[in-house]
Amino acid sequence: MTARMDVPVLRLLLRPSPAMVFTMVALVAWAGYLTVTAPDDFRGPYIVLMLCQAFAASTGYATRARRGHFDQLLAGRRSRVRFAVTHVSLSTLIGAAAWLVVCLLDAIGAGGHWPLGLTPGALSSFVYLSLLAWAMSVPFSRYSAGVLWLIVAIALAASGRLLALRNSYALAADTWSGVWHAVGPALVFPPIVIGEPSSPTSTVIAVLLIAAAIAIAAGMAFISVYSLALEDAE
Amino acid sequence: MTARCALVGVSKRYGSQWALRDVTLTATSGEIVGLVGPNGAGKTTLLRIAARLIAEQSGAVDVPSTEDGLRYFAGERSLPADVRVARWRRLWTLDPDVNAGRKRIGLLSRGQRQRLGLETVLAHPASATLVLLDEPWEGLDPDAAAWLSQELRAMRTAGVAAIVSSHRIHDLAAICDRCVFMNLGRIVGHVEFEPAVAANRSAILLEAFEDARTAGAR
Repeated sequence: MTARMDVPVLRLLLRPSPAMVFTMVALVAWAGYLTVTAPDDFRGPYIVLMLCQAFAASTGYATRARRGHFDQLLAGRRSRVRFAVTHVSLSTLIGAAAWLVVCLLDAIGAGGHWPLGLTPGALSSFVYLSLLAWAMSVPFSRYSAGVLWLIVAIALAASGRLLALRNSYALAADTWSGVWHAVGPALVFPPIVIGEPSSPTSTVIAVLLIAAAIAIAAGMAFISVYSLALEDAE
Repeated sequence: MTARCALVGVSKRYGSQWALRDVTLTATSGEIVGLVGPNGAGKTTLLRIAARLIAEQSGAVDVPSTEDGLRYFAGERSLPADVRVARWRRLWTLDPDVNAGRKRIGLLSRGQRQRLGLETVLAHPASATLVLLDEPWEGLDPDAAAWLSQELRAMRTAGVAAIVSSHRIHDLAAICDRCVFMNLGRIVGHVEFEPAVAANRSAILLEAFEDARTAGAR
């Protein structure tokens, strides 16, 4: 009905499942445990959090839109940009909040050192993964992008290519060809950037951020431009 | 009378199939326009284009309503089944329903869901300017059907324009000022009621509908 209702209605429709909330809380608890026992290695919680964010941010749009769930929010609008911005913000919120808490715990554990999660490489890979997961789920339903990404990860691991990607990323030299050897793995499997925090160059970070911008633009364009008929429209 | 909704020469195609062909329709303030036609006639597509939920292929759509003023309801299927009734009512500032308890919307009966959706859309009538309802009486019991008709009459009195599609000829005839017949994506006829005439509206509507169908078949 009005743009004022975007946040409350989308907060209700896109709310994370209890299992997702539990997982995020468990991750924060794990990070809290590491703060005491192994404050030098926080890569585990960050990497698992990225995997969870691939599911959490994948809230979907088209399936609900075809059922008419967004009708009351979208009716009469000349532009859907504000709706799309609210959609992506609320979709990525829980993962981003958990990421910040883990960063805080990381900083506490590291005795005030800059946390790994807030380094440019880690932050850009997290932003890229969050927005890509959201954008890829826009034409489909909830968790679709997370499932797709998990399948890709399992396929890469099963074929032994995940290790090859990691090596390609870790050993990439600071030359143009080396940069491209690092960009591919970072785009296909962003947690590699967390696993090898010393490797990324500013070019890799720039590519990740450009890819994130393309992803969010594509998702917003889909919401704004595509006319989705009701599933049983006459 | 202010035009609240004006569709001029609107066409819409899904793949190779035309859902609407060169449809022109207006609704002015304080007017209820009925849409009648067989399944697949294009009524839902017409309403969704007027609500700016789908884009027309050609033609002009002029709906000067603000987002707040335009109300559209596609039927009980458009409510999210996984949301609790109490939370939904609170969200849209509707009166609490003590009978619903902690039930989810999907567990309500069809008629209860339909009523809930209509209450949501028709809430805060002071800000409404255009109401678009798709099969609003479907699933409603007689009390709820009477409530809906009363709400629409009250909105008409307040100057709201409404376009209502329905197969329930008697309910539609009782409230609409004029009725448009659709078939295969085209408007094939219409009937206008004299405000003073309350009797035999259903018979007039049925007769006009039959004439339009016969003319369309020829």
